[in-house]
Amino acid sequence: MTQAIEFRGVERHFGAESVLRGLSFTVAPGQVYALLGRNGAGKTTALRILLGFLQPHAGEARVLGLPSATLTPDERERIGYVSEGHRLYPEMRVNDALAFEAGTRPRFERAAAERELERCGILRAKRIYELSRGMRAQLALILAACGAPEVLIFDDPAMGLDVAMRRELLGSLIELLAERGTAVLFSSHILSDVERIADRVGILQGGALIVDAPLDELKRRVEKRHWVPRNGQGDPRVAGLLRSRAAEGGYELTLLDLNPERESELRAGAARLSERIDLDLEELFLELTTRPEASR
Amino acid sequence: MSSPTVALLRKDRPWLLAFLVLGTTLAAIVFGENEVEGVFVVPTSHFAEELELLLVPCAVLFAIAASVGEALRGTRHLLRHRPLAPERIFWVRHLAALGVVAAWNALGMLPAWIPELWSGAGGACVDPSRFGAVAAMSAGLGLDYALVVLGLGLPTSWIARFVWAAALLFLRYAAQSALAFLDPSWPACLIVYALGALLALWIAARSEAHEHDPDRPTPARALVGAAAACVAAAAFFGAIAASGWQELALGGLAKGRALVARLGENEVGLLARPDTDGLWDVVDEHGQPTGRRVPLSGTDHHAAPSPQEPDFDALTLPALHPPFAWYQSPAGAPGTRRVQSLDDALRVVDFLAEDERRCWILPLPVGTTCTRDASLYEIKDGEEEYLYYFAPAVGGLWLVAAETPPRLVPQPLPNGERPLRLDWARDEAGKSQRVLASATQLWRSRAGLWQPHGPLEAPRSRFTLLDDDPLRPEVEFALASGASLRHRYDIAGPRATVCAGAAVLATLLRPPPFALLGAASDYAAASAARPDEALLALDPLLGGGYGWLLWLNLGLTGALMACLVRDLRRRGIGGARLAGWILAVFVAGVFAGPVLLALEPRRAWRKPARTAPPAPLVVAA
Repeated sequence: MTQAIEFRGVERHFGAESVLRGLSFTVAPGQVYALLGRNGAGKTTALRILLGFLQPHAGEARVLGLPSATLTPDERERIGYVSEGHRLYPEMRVNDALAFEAGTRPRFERAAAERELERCGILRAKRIYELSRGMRAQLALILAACGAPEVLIFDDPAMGLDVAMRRELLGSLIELLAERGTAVLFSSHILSDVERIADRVGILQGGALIVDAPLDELKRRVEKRHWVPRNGQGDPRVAGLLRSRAAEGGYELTLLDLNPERESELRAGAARLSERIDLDLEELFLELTTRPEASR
Repeated sequence: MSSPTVALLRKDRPWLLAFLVLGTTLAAIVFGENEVEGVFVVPTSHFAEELELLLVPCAVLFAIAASVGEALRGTRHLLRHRPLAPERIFWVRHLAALGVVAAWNALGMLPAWIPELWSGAGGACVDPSRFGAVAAMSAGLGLDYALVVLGLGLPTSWIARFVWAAALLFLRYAAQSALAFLDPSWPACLIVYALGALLALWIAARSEAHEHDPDRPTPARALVGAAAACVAAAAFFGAIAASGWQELALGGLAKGRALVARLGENEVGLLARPDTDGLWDVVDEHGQPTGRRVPLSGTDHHAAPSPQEPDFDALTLPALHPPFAWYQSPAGAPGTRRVQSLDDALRVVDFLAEDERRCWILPLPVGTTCTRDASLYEIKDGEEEYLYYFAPAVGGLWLVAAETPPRLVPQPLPNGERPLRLDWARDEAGKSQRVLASATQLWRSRAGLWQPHGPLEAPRSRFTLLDDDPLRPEVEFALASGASLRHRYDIAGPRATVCAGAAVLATLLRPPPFALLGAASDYAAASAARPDEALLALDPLLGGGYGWLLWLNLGLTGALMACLVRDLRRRGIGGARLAGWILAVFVAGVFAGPVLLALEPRRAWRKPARTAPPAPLVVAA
């Protein structure tokens, strides 16, 4: 099956700084993939490479099976894109923006867009600079989604929006996606949003992908335990230990794939080992991206 | 028009309209001030300057807005990510903008024409060719616009783009100045400007189709046109810079040299600077003071010769910037008369009353054309004014009779003397006035008749350039009494050495094609043939006995090429790209350096050390 999106060993540097290091992952048709990472991790660079706005120094990115470095105008029509900050032409009226999309994108469904705008309460006579941030974000989303894309790419769609706006925006997104079955790749650092809509997450750190897994599986495989050493001495040593931090007379351990054997190994040196503590995505993200370099 | 084109135009409509209103208003102000009479009947010389003063900055601003607008608003990718070819987006925008530029003058002249058409004059005596000249000026504005778009679209950093845009604009006017001696007609200007604008936009379109990426070499397709335009501009700039530098150096050399002067009725000597208390040192052949000091004032003297200087002052084209029109009071009619010289005729327009004009064309006799030294000039004789037309090339002299209708009356000098040049002489009252000089005497006009004004004054001294060596000229200064001095200037002293060195350096740095041209031309003959023209293409040293400097120039170019090959190969550049840059160095010499730095930056070829990415922690199928 052709993947909707595919990165194969993509590398990119800006000057002497490596921004992407061997990035490889795929997004299947209909899948919602969240690309996470701290500021400067390389998320926007990855998306720009995917859209052909930037060329990789090594490797290849493909969209809908096509090399993104040489996307033709016709191929671009199959890809929806909402840029960081929901860039639109501010002096245009909403109606003009619809006309512009309809004029430049043959597949744009103007009637559907008008219905969505009405549902969101966005007046078509208003100029875009008169809209609230949330409404502008919704408008950008509607304009991108109503071009009937097979792949939708968002660069930080919730950036700069408050909680209520984000909920509204993501609500719109979920409804649109439910109707169309479009593959979505979006970057974000607001993890509560990701949890609501993403099927799979990738976590970028220092330009490299350190996590690429379905969200449920990630949550299942990573857990936290409190470990107190016997006689108050000794360090926790076990395979799959992602992070240990001194806490309450012992250590707080973040563990990957803790199976019965590893658990026995831990218990052997412990005065006390707590039960499994589940992590939400935000905690997982922090645990995985703030690990000291030496413990990798 | 197709739907995407209309959509793109509607998107750009606000700022296209804003610049249409701005440019049209500025044009209307200039057309309104000069009125139809001053633009289309007998053009005033300041009309074109006023129009350019207001509309060139407007065109530049327009081009900046069109080029950087999307980048400033952050909508560049929003626009690019559309099922439309980038070239199409580019051409729709910039052809629409060129249409706006063309509309400035077309619409701006309308307010001036409305009262003209309603008045009794009704467009009488309008010169149809002036519409062509206005169209050519619009095309010139279009070229300004396109050159700024080209500069701002080059695949380099934003700062460098602005520098290139300014350089291209500067070079466009320098080229216009340098080529003014070809005296192009308005259709030639229109065609050259329009084609130049389209060529500049075509190169910009190729270059803009690719996103500029400072960390990757510019694709060859985008580089070819941009590099060619920049290298040509750099070569031209290099020629101007070398000429300017050389002019300064040789001027400085001449200025520091001794004057040859008449020191007494029968004595000739050399006077050296510095001037102290108005007295100059008399020096010997080697520049050593003799201890004698004389005042300079009242002394017949000559400075050391320096080569003809290139002249870059005139930014004007006669076809677009009309020459001065002379005024005359027509006899037997109220109002004023303006007389204008055309290529092979005089054009006379009488402004009789507010709404009435009459005009005539007075053809010159067959075989008489207005060469550039031909001129209209007037002489006042009491209350009377006489307007003459003098063509020294054919020795022709005519009176423009102040009659209605006007006539050209031949004015042969008595005794079949042929007028050679215009001169100045004092009349009985000691007032300076225009006279004509023939081979033997001066002639003045009195009551419309030519009378001898006196014999040509025999020169009291004769200054001859025996050897026009630009660095070591030899001169002879001879007095009528028979005393003479023959002197060869040497390069002596630190100042002369520095100036001569700087002049040689300018020759070495001159772009090779211009150096070859300079070596193949006789500078003295060229400057004598065109004394007022720009000689930027020629070199006083290469064309004045120092042709061997060409080998040093070519040697320096060869050394530069060798360094370039080594450096570019180290970066990993080879093949056609390398050959292209070698050609660029041959065309522009050292001036190709800024082009190379801007379009082929080292950073684009840098390959940072690769480090293995950390092993993934969690990867699921």
